[in-house]
Amino acid sequence: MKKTGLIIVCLLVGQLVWTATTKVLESRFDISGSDEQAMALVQEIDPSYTPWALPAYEPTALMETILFGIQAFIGVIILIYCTLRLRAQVSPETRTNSNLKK
Amino acid sequence: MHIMEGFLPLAHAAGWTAASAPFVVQGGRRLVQQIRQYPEIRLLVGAAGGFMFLFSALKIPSVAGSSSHPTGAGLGAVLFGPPIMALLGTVVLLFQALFLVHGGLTTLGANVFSMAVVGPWIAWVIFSLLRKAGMGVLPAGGIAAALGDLSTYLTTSLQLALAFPDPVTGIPGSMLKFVSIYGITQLPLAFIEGVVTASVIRMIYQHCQGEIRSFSHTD
Repeated sequence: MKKTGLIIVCLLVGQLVWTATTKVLESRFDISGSDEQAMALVQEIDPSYTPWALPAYEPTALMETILFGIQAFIGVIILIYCTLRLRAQVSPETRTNSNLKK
Repeated sequence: MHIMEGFLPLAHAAGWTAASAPFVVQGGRRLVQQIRQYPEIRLLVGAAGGFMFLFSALKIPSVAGSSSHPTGAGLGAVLFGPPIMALLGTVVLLFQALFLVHGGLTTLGANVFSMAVVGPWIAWVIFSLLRKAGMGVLPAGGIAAALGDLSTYLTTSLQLALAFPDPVTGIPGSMLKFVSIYGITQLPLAFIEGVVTASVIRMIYQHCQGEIRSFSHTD
């Protein structure tokens, strides 16, 4: 149980560190998202095009980072929950690594 | 690979939505059918959904000076086949469109088509071909996930090129421009997705071979 708790904490901390590191790298080295670059290219190809729908709100850069962090956090929680339940269901003798190279 | 809100003309947005809808409906039906037939796979489906949720939120700076994220769709495609991933991918994309302002509701159909339909189908076809050729589950799963990831971004490039052809070089020239943005960023990320997916397949095989054997396409 202690080991499981440690894995959960490591995954969550790792995810937070990842999000923060990416944000720092993006701001320090002026890295923009490929999606943003593609939309800029759309405006370059067709300057007259105006998006006919707009997002309900525009999150700040910090807010966007937090929101992506929340999505990753939800993913980690679901993944951990399902993995732990699966491990609990499967008896040790059925755990095997055969067939992997077949 | 997310086309932002309003960045596809109405006719294109409607067309891609119409093209995606049957795949999503089929995915829902297949999921219900599979869970009725094999109730033990519920947790595996949940794990694949969690993996997609997590992976598609991890923005990674690339050598090209831009950042992007993997799709996480290859794992589920290899385990369950592509139809179920159309549904799971739609849930992820809808979440991102509603709460993260990443992608959009008007471009949801196009984004679903690239990430939740084309990506998983390409991954599954490649996985099946490599397995038939005698390749092991892990390398075949890794390669399939990586190529599924790349195909998603190629599809997005095509969608944008069809909507915004270059005034001089037309659709091919425009596609080349979009591929040069997405492709270069995505190549190293696709490699990472392949390696991580292979590792997760290994873990799942070690712990859940019974569940996989009951329904899977991987044997």
